[in-house]
Amino acid sequence: MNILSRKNKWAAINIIGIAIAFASVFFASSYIKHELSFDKFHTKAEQIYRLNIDKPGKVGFMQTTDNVNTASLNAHYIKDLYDKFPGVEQIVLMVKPFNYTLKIKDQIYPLENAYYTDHSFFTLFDFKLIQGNKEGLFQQLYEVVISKESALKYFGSTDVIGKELTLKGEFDSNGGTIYTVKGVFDEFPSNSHMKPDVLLSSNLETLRNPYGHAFTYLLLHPDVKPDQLEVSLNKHWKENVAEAEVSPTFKLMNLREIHLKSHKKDELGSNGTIKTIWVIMSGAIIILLIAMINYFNLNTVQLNSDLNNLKIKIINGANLLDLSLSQIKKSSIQISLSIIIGTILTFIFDRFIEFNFMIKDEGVLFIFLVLFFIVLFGAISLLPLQTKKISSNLSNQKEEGSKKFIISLVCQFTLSIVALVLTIVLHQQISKIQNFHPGKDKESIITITEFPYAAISKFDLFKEKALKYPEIQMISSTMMPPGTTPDFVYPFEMEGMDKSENNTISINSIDHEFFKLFDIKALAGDLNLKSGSSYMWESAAISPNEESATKNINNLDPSYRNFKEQYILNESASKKLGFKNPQDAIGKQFKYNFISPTYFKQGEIVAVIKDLHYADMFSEEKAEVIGLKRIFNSTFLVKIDKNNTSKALQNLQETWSQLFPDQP
Amino acid sequence: MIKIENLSKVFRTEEVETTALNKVNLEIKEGEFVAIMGPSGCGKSTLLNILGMLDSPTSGKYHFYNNEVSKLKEKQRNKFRKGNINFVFQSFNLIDELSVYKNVELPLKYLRYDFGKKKKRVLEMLDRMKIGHRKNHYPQQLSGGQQQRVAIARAIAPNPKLLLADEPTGNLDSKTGLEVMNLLSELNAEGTTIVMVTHSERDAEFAHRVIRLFDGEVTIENTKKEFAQIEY
Repeated sequence: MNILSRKNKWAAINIIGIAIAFASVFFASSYIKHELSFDKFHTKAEQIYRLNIDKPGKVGFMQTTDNVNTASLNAHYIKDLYDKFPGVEQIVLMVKPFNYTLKIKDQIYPLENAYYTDHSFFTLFDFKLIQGNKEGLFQQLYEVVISKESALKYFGSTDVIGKELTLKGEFDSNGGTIYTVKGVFDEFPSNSHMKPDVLLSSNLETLRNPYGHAFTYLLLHPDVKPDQLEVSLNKHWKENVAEAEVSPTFKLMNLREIHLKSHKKDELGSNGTIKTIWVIMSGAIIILLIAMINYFNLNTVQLNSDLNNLKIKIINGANLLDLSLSQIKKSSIQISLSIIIGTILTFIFDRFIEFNFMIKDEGVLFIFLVLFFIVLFGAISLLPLQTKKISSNLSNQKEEGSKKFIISLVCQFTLSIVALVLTIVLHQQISKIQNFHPGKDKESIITITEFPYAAISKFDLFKEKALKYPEIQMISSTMMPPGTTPDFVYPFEMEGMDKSENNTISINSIDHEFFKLFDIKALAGDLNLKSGSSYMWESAAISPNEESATKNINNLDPSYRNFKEQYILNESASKKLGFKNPQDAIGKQFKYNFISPTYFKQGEIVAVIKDLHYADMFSEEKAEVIGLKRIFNSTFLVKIDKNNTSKALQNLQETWSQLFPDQP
Repeated sequence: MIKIENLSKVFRTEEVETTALNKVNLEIKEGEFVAIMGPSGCGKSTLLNILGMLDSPTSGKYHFYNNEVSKLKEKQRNKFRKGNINFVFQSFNLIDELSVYKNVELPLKYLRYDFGKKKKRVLEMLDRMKIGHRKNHYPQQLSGGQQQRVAIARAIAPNPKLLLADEPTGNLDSKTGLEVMNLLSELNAEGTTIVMVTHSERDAEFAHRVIRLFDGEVTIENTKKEFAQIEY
């Protein structure tokens, strides 16, 4: 301790530097280890693959090209797997129910994170049941297995075998379907790409419903090579599509790769990216390098300032080993303290950013890093002693020492400036990215997703009632919740461009006040949009047949009939459509070839906006056309008074309960 | 004990070449107390450094107990010096971060004394130098005379055969200086060979023999008796 107190300034700098490096490396390596461990805990992980579309096709049962951006697959593509590919030993399908509620006694809950599947799920994947028996599970219909957390939420206990819950779809005219709880599973590991809360039994016929989309997992025979199976599968489809149809190409992705390599819009969980791993690893390495260089510099400076003492020790009989042992003693105290502080910092950081993995479980990694740091920084502390030739002659080397002191200080100063500049650049980049996203003033905007059709149809009424409260300032709606990419990708027709089936573009739907809510300004044109088509009109127009749609519309009240399509382009779409200047797009005619021809008819481009970066900060911005179709707008956006959040939420809840008592 | 023949030391820089010692011949017997005197820059300290094996000569021979040590490398010289030769400096050269006790313990630690023997010897030395009551103090808390006594305690703790003193009273007042010289005299009387560089005629009177250097060469050698008769 005497060493520390005497040289406390040096020691404090060293300890803080190593502590930050330790925290960074410990956190980064824990994170990376966790990210690389996804789904490896399944005993059959090596042979389990998920089937996805790689390039879109267009075959008979599809009204348009496949949406390649989904992880789930049209069930039609799956049926041939059962008898034409013997290398596929087992198939597990998972289908997500849409807009269902759960009723337990008199309490209604939204059904979230639930999937239909069959008995094969429990033999393919390794999940632990804490109640019930895997044997015989899901051999019958109307069985349900729920997570421990759900059991506690719905029933207040995990002892729930035999209890019943009622599943009711939005359009179910009866009272719903009763399911019996047959099992409770422990929380899925944090390194599982899927973390369902509710699994509902279904049979193969239902799961292969031609209108359904299923997450499709295949267990391949150990001798089957996935590349070869992919080739066979794609060949099979190519040979079996009708003339003028386009067969899609399929891709098999190993279960362990899904988390890092798959970024479809309907993934079963929030996936990571290789890029993030590289960024975090690089950051940790840079911090470690800076700490190493600083530690070396400070030790060199310290050695220079201690040179006279070292010479006295040599004169009194010390050799290099004696001096090295003394240095190791000093550095081991510093490194130990740094590791303790670094570990505390890691825990604080982990708690602060709320990553869902437990650093305290990383015992082996921790011990490895402790040893690594002791050896690494112990060796660095010895480097100046080993590289500097210390003479026992007291009259030599004083000048050299002071020169090195200045050089070391200059190096440290330069490094600090570099680190500071890097931090500022990073901060500016993050600010820039954040400012790109709509709704940077996020604390005042509430996003409510996956509204049922009943709620969408009463959007105007909901808006009218809710806006009576002064705490609720504005309400808009959109098809895609922030952080997602548009569902629809279809061909289009553009004034002055050749019509081409292969030329597609994404479309998003919004409410006319969307841009006002996010305070988005137009690059060109006018964003003071007129209200779009009504829900009544849109309900009548849903028909793949234009004739019947027109007939339905004509039967409507005349007040619902008159509207004109307005289209807004993002900057990428403006470029894709060939406009060098956004202003040139304004007033041009555009038509979107949607399934239902009455939808997105020919209309005028009224504005061009900057790319919204609506999805995430990693994806490249896509060309996107925006139209106004409220029937698709299942995400409501509510701008509230941020100084009165709780009152606003309470009022919102009250309005909702009045209008939709059966919808939680 | 010590025999040097035609010993020279030349310091070279890019621009100048300085001859610090020029063909010095000298013999020192065991138990002798020799003083080296001369004006500043005459080579006294250089000679002392070579005798203490802190530095090596450019040419000539240096026999220490009949071992030729002038060609030894620094590591070998350090090994040779360990336990045999120790120093007392004008500026004491105590380690500020270590207590009095730890400073005195230093050479014994490097000689791998066991704990009990080491402690006994340190306390013995401190008592002998009448500084035992200050063993837990740090050098900055002591007077100059006390610091020099600690330095002497440290120097003689491993019982060296040769004690080299570089102006040991240079930083002390007259009375304290006299005390230090009496101590060195006592040590010499007990058998320790002492070579002392000094500017002080009074301190030189404690020596058996006085060697005068001028421009790197030995000019006069006086016995104690001869030296006492010289009138300044």
